[in-house]
Amino acid sequence: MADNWRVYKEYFRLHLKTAMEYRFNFFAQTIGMFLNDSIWIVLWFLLFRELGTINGYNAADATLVFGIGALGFGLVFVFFGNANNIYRSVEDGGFDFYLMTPLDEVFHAYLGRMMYSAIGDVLFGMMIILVLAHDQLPLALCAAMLGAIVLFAFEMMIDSLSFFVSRPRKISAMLHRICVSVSVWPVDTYSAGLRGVMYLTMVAFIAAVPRNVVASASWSMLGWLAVVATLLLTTSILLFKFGLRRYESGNMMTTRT
Amino acid sequence: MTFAAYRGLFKTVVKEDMLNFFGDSMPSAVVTLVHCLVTVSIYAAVQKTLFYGIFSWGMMVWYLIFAQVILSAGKGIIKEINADIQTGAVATAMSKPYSYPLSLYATFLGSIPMELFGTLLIVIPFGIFMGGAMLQAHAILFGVLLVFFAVTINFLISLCIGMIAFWTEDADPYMWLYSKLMFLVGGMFFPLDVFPATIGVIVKALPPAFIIYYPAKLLVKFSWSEFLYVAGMQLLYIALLSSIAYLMFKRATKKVMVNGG
Repeated sequence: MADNWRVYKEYFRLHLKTAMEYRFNFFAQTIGMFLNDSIWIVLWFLLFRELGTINGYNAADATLVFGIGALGFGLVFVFFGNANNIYRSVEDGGFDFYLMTPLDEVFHAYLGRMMYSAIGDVLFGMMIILVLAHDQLPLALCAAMLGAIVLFAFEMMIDSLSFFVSRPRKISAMLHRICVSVSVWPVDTYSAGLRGVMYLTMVAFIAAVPRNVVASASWSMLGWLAVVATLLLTTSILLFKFGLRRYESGNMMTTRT
Repeated sequence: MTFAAYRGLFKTVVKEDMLNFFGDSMPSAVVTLVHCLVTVSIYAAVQKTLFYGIFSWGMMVWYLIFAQVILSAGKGIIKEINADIQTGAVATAMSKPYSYPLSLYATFLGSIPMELFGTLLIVIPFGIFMGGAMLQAHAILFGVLLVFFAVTINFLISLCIGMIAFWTEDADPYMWLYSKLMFLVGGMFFPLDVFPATIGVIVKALPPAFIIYYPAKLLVKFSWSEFLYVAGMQLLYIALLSSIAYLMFKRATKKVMVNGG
């Protein structure tokens, strides 16, 4: 565990140093993503101005769902930026690199990259939570972090597909896009049937349920969310490790210095 | 000779897409369907007879579907240019006996037919189920022409944005902003009639409106006068953006260094 933490810190330092080598692009990506997310606020306000309140949801509620989703997405892709990228290394045989160290292969594989633009998501998500949920700040941050764990579990399950499917690129991209885009929508505004699908597939637990935790100020609901997040994460790790047994080396030699 | 090369590129991409139809085109079609589903679901929750004062429920459903379909056509051109510039593949592409931007246009157009076919295959039943079969043949016939102009404008803007990478080495942030501006001022989630009158006049005159809003609107609510206005404006924007892209490319080529060996 201590080894993992030491390696993690080293990787994180390395990612930040790499980012600073291309300072302009780093800041352009961060600011670009922040602005990109901010446009959603205008979208929600324009949409709800026409539609009014839907199932108790207004523009601020939809913005909070989006903000929590953005923070969760940002946390996953800043700290475990290789999420939704593993299939590439499995496809081209580069995954061997992660297997040749005494570290846990799942842990090692996911910290191999940082998505710099995701820092913009984190900043945006934090801003939204500070503005719309400042009176429930600890609860909101905990709920967003649990949402991030659910998203990470989804990404790991999607990545696991690459061990079972021969050409996973398009299918992985499809599932990732669906998962990310659907989860930040206010799913509680949907009809009962569609809402049921969102809850059964657990997509609602990425941002909509964390928002409901904040709205109801319920620590017990947060506990249930933690149970779901833990179960999903455990399942995804087991699935990934099970899939890993099917991985065949491409004998590709890579070094990192 | 050159035109034959572009035609060859177009045909190659179409054939590739036909071979990998279920593996490549259908996943993108499913994403478009899901986007249609979540967007339409928000409107479905509101029991209104008239949306934005112009669209009935059926029209609104088809407008949202067409908006998603138009934007999904030929995505990824900015990423392609970005990758070409970052990996240096652009130098190889430029050494070929044809124009790099026009070769991109040929592959861009080639990527549309199968993806569009796959998307329509699954969104049409969805549209009929949600909004009813209410489309008119002449609106579809002339609407297709507007959609062709629309994807061309989208390509030209994407080309200009992608070429920014010649100077900054990374066009991703500009791509994100462009995609969200398309949502906002293109009319992806709502018709542009949502804007207050003064802002609406400006927004409706910008290129994104001619990529999504007008073509999608005319496909569901056709009028000859608006069709002629939109087609004229689209051609004007195509001419303007082509000139900008040409000038940008001319300057960008000076930044490409080719080392033999």
